[in-house]
Amino acid sequence: MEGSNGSSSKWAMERRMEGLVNKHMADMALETLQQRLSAVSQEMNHLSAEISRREDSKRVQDFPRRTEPHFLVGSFPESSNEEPVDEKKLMANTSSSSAETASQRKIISLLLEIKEEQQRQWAVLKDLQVMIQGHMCEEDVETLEIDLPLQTMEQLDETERYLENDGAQKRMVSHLSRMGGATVDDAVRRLMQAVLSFSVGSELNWVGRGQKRSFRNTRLQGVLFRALKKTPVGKEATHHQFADVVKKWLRFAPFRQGGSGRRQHYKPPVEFMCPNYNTDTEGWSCVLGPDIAESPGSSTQPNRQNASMAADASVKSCQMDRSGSFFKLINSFSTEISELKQEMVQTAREPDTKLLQGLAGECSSDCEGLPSDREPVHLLLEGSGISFADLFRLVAFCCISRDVLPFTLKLPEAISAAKTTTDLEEVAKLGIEFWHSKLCQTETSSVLDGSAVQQRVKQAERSTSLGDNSTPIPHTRTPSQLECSQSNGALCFINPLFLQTHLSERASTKTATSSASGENCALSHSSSSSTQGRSHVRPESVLRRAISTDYTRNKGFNREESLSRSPPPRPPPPRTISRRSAIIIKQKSMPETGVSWIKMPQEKTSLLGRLSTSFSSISPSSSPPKKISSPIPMPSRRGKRAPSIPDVDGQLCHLALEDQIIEQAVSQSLAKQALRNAATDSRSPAEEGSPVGQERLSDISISTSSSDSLDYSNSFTLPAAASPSRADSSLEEEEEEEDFGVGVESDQELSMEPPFKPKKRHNAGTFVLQRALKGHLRKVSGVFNSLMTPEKRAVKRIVEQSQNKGTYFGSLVQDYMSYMQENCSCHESGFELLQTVRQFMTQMKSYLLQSSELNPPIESLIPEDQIDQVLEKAMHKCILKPLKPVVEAALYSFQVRTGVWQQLKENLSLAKAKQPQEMGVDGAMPPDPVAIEKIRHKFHNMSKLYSPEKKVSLLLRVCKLIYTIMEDNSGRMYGADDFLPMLTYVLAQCDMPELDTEIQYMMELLDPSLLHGEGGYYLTSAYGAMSLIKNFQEEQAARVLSSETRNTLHQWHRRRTAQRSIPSVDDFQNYLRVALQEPDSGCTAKTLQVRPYATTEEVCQLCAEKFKVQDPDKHALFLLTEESTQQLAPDTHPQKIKAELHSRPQILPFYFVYRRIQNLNLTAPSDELNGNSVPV
Amino acid sequence: MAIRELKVCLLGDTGVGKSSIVCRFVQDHFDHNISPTIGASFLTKTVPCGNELHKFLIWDTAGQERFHSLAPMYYRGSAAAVIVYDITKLDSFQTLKKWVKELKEHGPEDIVVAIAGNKNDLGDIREVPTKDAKEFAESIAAIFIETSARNAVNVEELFQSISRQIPPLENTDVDSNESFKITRQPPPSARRCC
Repeated sequence: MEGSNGSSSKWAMERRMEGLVNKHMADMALETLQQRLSAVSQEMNHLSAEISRREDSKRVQDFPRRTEPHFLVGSFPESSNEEPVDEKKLMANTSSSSAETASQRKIISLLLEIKEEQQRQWAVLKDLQVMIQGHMCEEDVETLEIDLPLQTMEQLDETERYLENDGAQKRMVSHLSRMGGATVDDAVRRLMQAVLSFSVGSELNWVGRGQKRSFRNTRLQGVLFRALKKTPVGKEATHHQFADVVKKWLRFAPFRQGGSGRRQHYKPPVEFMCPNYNTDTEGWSCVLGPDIAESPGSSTQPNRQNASMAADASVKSCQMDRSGSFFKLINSFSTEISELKQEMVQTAREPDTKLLQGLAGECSSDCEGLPSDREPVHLLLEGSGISFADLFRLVAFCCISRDVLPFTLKLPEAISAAKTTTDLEEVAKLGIEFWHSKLCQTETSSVLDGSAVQQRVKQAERSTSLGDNSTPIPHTRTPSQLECSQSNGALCFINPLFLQTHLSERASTKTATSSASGENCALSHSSSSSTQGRSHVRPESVLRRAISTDYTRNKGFNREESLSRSPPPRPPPPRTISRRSAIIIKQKSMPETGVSWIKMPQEKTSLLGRLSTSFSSISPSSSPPKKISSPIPMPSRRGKRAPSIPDVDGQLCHLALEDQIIEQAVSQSLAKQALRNAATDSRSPAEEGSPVGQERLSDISISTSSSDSLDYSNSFTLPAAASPSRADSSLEEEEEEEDFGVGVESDQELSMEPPFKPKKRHNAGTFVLQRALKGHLRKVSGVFNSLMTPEKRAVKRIVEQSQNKGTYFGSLVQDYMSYMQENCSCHESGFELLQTVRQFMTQMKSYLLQSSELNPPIESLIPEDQIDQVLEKAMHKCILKPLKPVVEAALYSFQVRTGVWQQLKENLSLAKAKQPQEMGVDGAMPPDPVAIEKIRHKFHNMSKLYSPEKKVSLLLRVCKLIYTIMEDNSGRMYGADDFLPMLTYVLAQCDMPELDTEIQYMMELLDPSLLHGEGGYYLTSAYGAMSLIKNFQEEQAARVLSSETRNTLHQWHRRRTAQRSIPSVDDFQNYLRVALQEPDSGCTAKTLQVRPYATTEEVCQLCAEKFKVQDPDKHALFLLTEESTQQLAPDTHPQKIKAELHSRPQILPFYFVYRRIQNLNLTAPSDELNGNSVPV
Repeated sequence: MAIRELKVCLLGDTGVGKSSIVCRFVQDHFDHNISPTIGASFLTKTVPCGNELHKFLIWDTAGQERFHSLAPMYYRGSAAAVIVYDITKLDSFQTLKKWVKELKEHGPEDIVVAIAGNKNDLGDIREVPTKDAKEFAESIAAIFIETSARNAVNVEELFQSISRQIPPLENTDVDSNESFKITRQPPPSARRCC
């Protein structure tokens, strides 16, 4: 732990440095160049001085001409310059003596050389400048006619109009490309902030679902992406990556507005740059003040003035006297607090305020530049897009989030470790001096060395001894106390890590950081003696807020569970926070010791907790009830826990993490509501007994990692002992599907309502009960889950993973999902649509087989010969299940659009009227109407299923039924000769036009390996029967299948052949159907394999070969459409022509015909040409 | 022993006894009441061949003219096609020739074609001389055999000779299933059977 801690801070440092470098790269490079330039000019001066000096000395001493070695070092071609110099010189000094002239000439030539050199350097400088600033260095920001960021939707419209102009777009891109950013994500966020205000942002979402407008369809979006591509970090960025960040940004834009979600109290747009990260001050250095205020937009323009200004400001700040504004800050703090308190607590108590004032004072003792007026302001940390209504919220946010700061804030150890009021008073007495005091320094020292544990122990001992004789502070409690004492709950911030370190030492007596009115920020402070300039704190100190107090209270067991989980080591801060202000926080090394303090008396758990405990004790999974409350180290498997939460173990998650933390912060306001409810609740007896002075006790729900604390449902984990590792993840599935499953798939869900659904909190009472019940049910289902077959478990796991965007597989699936949901109708035909879906499923299957993303590997669960089936099943579940409605709708609309639907309906009714004999049934008894009704019912059920395999099995049942009816009446076995006509008859009798798409769906989506089996056979038969019906009229007339059916058959055939190797879209395009038209024998068509880039010439050769044409010279390839016939030039590409024709909105029938050139009087009836049908 | 699934397609005029041959082959006698598959149109049987097991997935087709156009769906992907004619009906032999032609043109490349002259037991009303049929079969390099489904004559032999003609696994790409063998092996039993 220590080691990782050290390295993580080191890593963080590096990242920050990198970010800074990135950010100011242009500036620095410019500076360097200027330095070089000035160096050059200095040298010039020096040289000219030298020259004059030498000339002087020459004159005085009359030295003969001498060459100065220094000047001759350069390899410049002197001779070339000699001539003109000579002339000039001669003209200038005609009267000079020859010796003088020679030396002068030499000097002048040297001067010229220097000048040349300087010019060359200028050129280099220019080039470099261009390289640094893009090609637009001469264009000014001022040329932008748009005021950024856009404040209203009208402005957005204007911008859109403005961007219609290419030049304007270019200007915009070049302007925006200078926004900077340390990472792609950072850069995108900066861009978004530069362009959109949060109010506009909250009116948009990516695809434009709900009431919002689509951002994707704006020109601005394209411009932003182009701008991103121009930034040094964004060069490699994909549009997908960009879109992801934008989606998130938009999703949370409403919440960033005021830190309070959609609540839109108007606040004057006064924004303060708040604590500016400072390197060498003692402790906090907050720079607050309008003079350095920056709007998000302007802050993203990294120009030198800005940067230096900020730097100046911070430097100034540490020299300035802070005492004046300090009290103002406290003032505003306490006002804010009392406001908040009144909001949250029905019965306000004076001492709370006092205490918090004290606390706030400590926290903010070094702040300065406080806004003196108390009018509502927006506070935001420099570089952050999240503004807050008040300082308190900001601090609270900083305690839980690393959005701006590289670490979360923590309470100074001296305060958090305080056990008695006297302790705190002692601290309070110190006032601002606290930061220099021994109390503070002790912990500081513990920060910087690695052996923090001992230090902490000492510290703890000391603080304990301090408080030995005094009464315990009533308002600080151990978690266990908090655990069991249910008060009229107040909001409480707990740093779990914090708790842990203390409590690991002394379980029952350690204090939690909760205090006062429950508005407890865990703030850590350091009188940093760091010489590096920045100190780093591990990001672990994540604060868990109790969101739904009564909820957690009634779920003691859950809390225990979440408490019992030791925080997994966190990766180093994955993001560089460059140029963002941050608060100096001393680094605390938190020993990751066990969580023995969780061993709390059983009777202290809440009723439901006990219930659940007993519940689990009767579960077959052999977990003794005690185990529940004892620390159970849970494997960190968070990647699977919540599909909505990316794997936090990897740094890839950091973005989502951030946003989720914002969610959390957002829900703070929502939590108030819950708190209000909580306040009305009666206290638990256990809590009554404690010496209650002034505080309200808080409910907490503690989680030890930020990722888990992101949404409250995640704190409900099953006791690990009760259900082995995988069971509990599967248990959560229901819950998560319900709460978050949808949200993952589409961002519009989130953007339409706050992530924490407020409705759940409206009625805390009933809500709790339901929740509690749910918990039990979940436990029961957990028992069953542990009995699940490995196959089901594997499927479940894959499905879970597919919903987890944090995994590659998950993001692939989810992206495809959203792509399909939006672009289903972009496909050319239903077949094509289904084929792409099938292809995707096959690809995903082979990806899962080859990748190691599944953990445990599927091979460990499933015997090898069944893996494919299991994967197929999983694919159906995670891809087809959500896509089925979309696909069905698309298939239907294709049919309607192409008129197939109408034709099918007509033909069906026509066929329905026919007698069995007319359908080719001969001998066997056709099913009676009752049986037909039964079959209809089965088909109806079939259409409800999403899995093609299950559909097929229902189809088989229908076929079986038909066989039974046939055989029962004759006692003999029927082959296809009898069955196929019967099936056709039955299908006609059923009169279900929707069956056509059903069959299509099955045929295209069924695992290709099953197509040779019985399912494939009857599916083929059903398809054939359906095509016969579809073309009933035509068939009646011509007894031949329509060209269309033939084409689809061939297409299907292609798919089968394509399945041999890895399917790819190209396979479907590698065929060209060419008809040979002979005057005497009509048309013969062949499907030829033609590469996409094959020329007409090559195709002609192929045709000559395949059709065995005697005189290929006299034949040529023609493109026939309804109106025209045109000979294709030898250098054209038939496949391209085909693709072009296909991509037209209305596909007219067209044919490639290979025929004699002379034969111009082609009068083939369209029927004959139609579909290149081969005469039978 | 490796199990290879071989799709076999039955072609031929209606009434020539396609189904009967297969029923005989699969069930060893007519009108067996217990069928592993739901109907006689699709039957399977596994036979050993060398060191492999060949599982024949036999796709019956409807011989009526009106269903002719559906045939490509059935014979695609087939490892073998059994074209059946009735030795007592010359027409059925003419149809057979059409089938052969179509298979050569549109069928799978390496399809094994077997020509079966059924109803060998009705030799007295024979219309198609064995010699003609045999010559034709030789001209197209097809397996030729005269069978009697009723008397169970040469039915086994028909499928055995098909088995022998199927190229061994190593160098085959006849069956599209085979190329997937490395990564997955379709279960031998048709698990979608009700």
